[in-house]
Amino acid sequence: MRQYAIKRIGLFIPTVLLVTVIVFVVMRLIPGDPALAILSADDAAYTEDELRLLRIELGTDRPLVIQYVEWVSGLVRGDFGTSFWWGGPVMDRLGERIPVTIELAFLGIGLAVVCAVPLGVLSAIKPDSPIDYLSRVFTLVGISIPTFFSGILLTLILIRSVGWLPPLGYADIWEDPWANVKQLMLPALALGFYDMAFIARVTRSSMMEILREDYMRTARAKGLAERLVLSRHGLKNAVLPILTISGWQFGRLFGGTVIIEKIFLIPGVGQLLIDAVYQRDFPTIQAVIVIVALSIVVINLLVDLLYGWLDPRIRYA
Amino acid sequence: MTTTSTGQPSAELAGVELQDIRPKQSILQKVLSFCRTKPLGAISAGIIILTIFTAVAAPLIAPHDPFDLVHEPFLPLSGAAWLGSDELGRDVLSRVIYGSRVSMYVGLASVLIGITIGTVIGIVSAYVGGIIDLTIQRVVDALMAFPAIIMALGLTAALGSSINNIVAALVVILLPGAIRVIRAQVLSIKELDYTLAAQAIGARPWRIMLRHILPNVVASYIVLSTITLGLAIIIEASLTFLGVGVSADIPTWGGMLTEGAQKYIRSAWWLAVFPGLAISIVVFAINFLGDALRDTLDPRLRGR
Amino acid sequence: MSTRLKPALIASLAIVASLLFAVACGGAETPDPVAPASTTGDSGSAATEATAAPAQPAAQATEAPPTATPPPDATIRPTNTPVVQIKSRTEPTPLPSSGPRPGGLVRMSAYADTKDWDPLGSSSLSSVISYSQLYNQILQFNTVDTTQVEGDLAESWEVNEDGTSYTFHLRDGVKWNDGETLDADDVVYSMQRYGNPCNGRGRSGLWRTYTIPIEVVNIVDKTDCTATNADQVIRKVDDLTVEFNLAFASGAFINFLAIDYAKVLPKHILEQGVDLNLAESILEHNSGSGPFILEEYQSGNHYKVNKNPNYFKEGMPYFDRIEHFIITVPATFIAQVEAGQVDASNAAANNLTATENYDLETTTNSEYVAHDVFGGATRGLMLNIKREPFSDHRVRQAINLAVDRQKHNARALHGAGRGHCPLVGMANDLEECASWPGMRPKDTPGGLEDIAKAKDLMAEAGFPNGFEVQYTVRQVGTYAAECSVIKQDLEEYLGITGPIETLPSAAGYAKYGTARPADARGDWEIACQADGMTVLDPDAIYGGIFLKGGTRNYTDWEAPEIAAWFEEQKVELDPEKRREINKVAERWLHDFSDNHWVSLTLGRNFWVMHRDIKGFHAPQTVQYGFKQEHLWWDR
Repeated sequence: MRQYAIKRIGLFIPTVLLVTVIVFVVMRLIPGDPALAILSADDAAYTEDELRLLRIELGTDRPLVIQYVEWVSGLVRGDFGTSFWWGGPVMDRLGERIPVTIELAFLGIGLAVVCAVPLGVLSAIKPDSPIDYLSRVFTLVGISIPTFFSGILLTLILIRSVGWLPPLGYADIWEDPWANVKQLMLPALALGFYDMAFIARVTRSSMMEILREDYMRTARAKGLAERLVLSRHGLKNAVLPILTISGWQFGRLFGGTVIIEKIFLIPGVGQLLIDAVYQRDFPTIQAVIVIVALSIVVINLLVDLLYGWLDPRIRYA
Repeated sequence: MTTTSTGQPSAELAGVELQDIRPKQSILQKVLSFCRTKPLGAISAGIIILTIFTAVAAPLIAPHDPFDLVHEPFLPLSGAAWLGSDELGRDVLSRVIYGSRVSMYVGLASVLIGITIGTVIGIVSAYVGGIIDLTIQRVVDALMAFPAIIMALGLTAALGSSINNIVAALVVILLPGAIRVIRAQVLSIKELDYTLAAQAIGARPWRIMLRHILPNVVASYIVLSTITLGLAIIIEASLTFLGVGVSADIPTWGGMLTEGAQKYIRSAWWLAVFPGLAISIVVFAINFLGDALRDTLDPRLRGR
Repeated sequence: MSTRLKPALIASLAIVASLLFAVACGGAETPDPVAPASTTGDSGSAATEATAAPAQPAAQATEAPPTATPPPDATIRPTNTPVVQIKSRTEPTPLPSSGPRPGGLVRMSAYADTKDWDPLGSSSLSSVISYSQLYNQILQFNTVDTTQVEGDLAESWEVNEDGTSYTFHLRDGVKWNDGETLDADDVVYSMQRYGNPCNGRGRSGLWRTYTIPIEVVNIVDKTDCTATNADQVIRKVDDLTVEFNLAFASGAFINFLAIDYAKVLPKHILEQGVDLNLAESILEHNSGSGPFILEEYQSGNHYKVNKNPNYFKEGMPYFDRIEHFIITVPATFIAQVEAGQVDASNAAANNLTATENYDLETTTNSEYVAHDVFGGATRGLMLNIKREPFSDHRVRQAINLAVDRQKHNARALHGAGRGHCPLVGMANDLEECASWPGMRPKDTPGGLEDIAKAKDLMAEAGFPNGFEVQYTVRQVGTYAAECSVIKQDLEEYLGITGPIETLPSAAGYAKYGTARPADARGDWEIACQADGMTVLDPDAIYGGIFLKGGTRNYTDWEAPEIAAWFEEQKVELDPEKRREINKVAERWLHDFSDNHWVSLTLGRNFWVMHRDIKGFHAPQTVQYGFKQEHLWWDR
């Protein structure tokens, strides 16, 4: 196990370096000058001289290699630089936004797991039954409707049918938990929908495999109640793949938040990112993408290690 | 057959079995049997073929030019404009029909290119191994660290949002997944008896790849392509929603849906609903077909 | 077989059906969206529509927007005063006899997040809306007659005889929130900061155009930004008197000092090195002087302000508290208004189209009013004169004649445009412009003449069958729709056709900018673009579009005639004489013997407000009037 862990962690470092290079190179290919984006906001007037001076101020006139080295050395110190757009430290904004997105992602994945696992188990117990078909169709619908469409429809149906909308103005979970939950329920549902579909399918297939295992037959033969057989022996063994997939999905969920946060006005990193892309705010874009990518790399590493620890066969694969 | 002359019964059996069972059914028979066992998959395939046909024959099918201001603005559904007209007075039906072109082109092109390149790299990576495999895997790891939509956002912002650039961005997004799946598959085939046997008797690597590995990868290739097609179409539409998609001038489902949903959903619901339904139905069909194909062709991929 | 098929089929049908049902429910209560007004020049498709409104007489319909509630101002009014007088479609909220009543919470929507909290170099509308409530200017626009400039911090002011020196007398006893006195030192410090050429001009320093330029030691690479002559430009006379010295006499100068961007900031806090561009610093140092005090800012979501109990204006502000929510998606704004969670937009900007704004009045039974604010942006078609075939002025003139301005307004802007004059009504009146070639409706004899003339010009230039071009638009606002409509005209009348390329905002500007260098031709050919109006003054339009180096003059087009007229009118203090000069210039611009910008219309914006919010009078442009100190609830 130790060797396996060392090997996995050793592979982690080049991956991280590559991630920073990819982010930086892609960002600097973007046409549209941040200085221009700032000066031309709201169709305002500007002169060529102002443009030149602002480029000097932002430092975008310097060679790329220098900019990269500066950026990475800042990263190592935990300094994400100063926003081109609003002029403050990127870290400040990230500090406000990250917890919001994490909460949203947790709620999303939580809702997904809570709904998906029973669905998958039911499907697996009675394959090809109406319930199975219904849940499979439902899960397929889940991954077929674009999130932004279902999000807007959901809002519309809600206001039309019950005249209720989540309260405006994001409420911090520690200050006003009830308002916070009211605000995040809908977006979390929309966000988790896709993953619900995914996890339900994984649950179904792994449960079906387990149901065919010998120990299940043994348990039944012992005369255990079916409910106990399923929960003690069946689900317990299916937890591992479900956990793994959920871990991976958690990373994917960060991508989904970009769209969900825009529709539901959630002040998370997703909204920060998309705004920064419009504003050509390189330091913010880079910081967000690097943080998201790194958390995914870390989560994948943890999932791998966990899996390797739980299932020794993996270590030699 | 290389294996028949070796006189090694086990290798012979394994090789013959895996290679010879497949060609026994003609393609037509396979299709028929697929339709029989997976009727919904077949219906889904029909929907997809129909959509591709619509895309190709759009100028013949569409009642109007999608750019012409043929109606009054915001015309509801009626005999003259079956799906109503948009804010400028363009025919929504014609635009939905033309919209299939972008979705289908972007989806099919990116999947064909992405999965094909991914398959080739995956096979090479697995087969050659060593430092090349290690390097490729690190790049794959790094690429997989970016959520698809974030990667797409960055790449299209960087490359510009022409249709072909969106295809290029999607190729980059689909590549790592394809490489990983195919590589794993090849690695397991590599360890199978008949491949080892072929190696033992000194068959050339390219011959082993061509005769033993490729045919076994084809099933995964087809399934992967189908599954990712839906993803590609959704990402294309999402990019438009985020404001970095295909030109507003070209009718796209994503673009129409975004405009309609954000601006006119209350006063002119048909602007958002029909392109939205078009995307949802096509992607649904693709996913259903993918499911059916996976069950039929490659049960090992189940649950991925 | 059938057992496998049935449940699945039923299930999928059920899903599709429920989807349709959901959608139908969403739309069921939607009122008949818009009774389409018939637009002239369009074949009789409307006649075949059972739901179409009764056809209107063609003459009336030329400017009618595609909406059930056509604004009465669609008929163009003459204007007689130098500053454009705009008759609003909606009346200002009437003042009941009781007078303003204090108290109450108001929830407003902001169309975008705040970028700057410090006005230095700021030209961001979404920002000025937020910081305007916290600070004061020297001058402000009157909140009833919004064309008039009055004192804010200044009690009075005088101009010297030749009009080149302004002296402002400040109110006595004005205090910063932290108790310090607000005096001439703060005013001079703030203005010298906005005037320093090392700092971006933004909209806070627009008045720089008129004053003696401030010079610094080294501007080239910004190594030393110490001003060498700042005191000659802006001078403290005594604690309550400030003097500005102009480079030339101008009546427009005070307008630029009166906009909300030109805020006076606390010298004593800035001098400590505090960065007031950060909301945290404002909160920490309580740095304001204005009607409201910042309580909370959450980027990307909301900011909340409370009444300043010690505000120097007696009885003001009336609201106890304003909560601003940042709502960027139009559908969400509408839903929130309908759910009663938003009382007003905090500016004449809410991301909605004209049609949606009108509809909002209808669906809320006029509980909400969409007030017209005319000075949004002057909209135009940019032609790259550095590239073939636009280097030929006949081609440009042909395009100017062939564009259907009525259709552009009705379709792309939903009737929100006002007139077609290049100087938007500040020179010739709108009726006069409407009779000029190219401006006339295309189905009138004059309009047909214009089309014929345009075709002749194209043939003369060697393009009897038109040519291929690429249109470029930025992915914001109505640009794509505008170019789509114009493209159809040019294709139909002149055979000019081609794809429309859409670019993210900044990338679009970068592309336009490629035509700037003297030896470059630029990567674009024809583009739909607008020039934002900060103050309605001819100087701004000349400077932005028609003079060399202007922001929208990407090809550095120049005409000695225009430059001469500009200089002449700039220093003319008699409004009527100034207007006469501009009339001549405007006609010259429109005749297109040489021009790069096809003027289309002045775009209108909407300020949505609950009808019980009183004291509101629409400002002349979207860029000022955000202190909210004069508004009150009549409940």
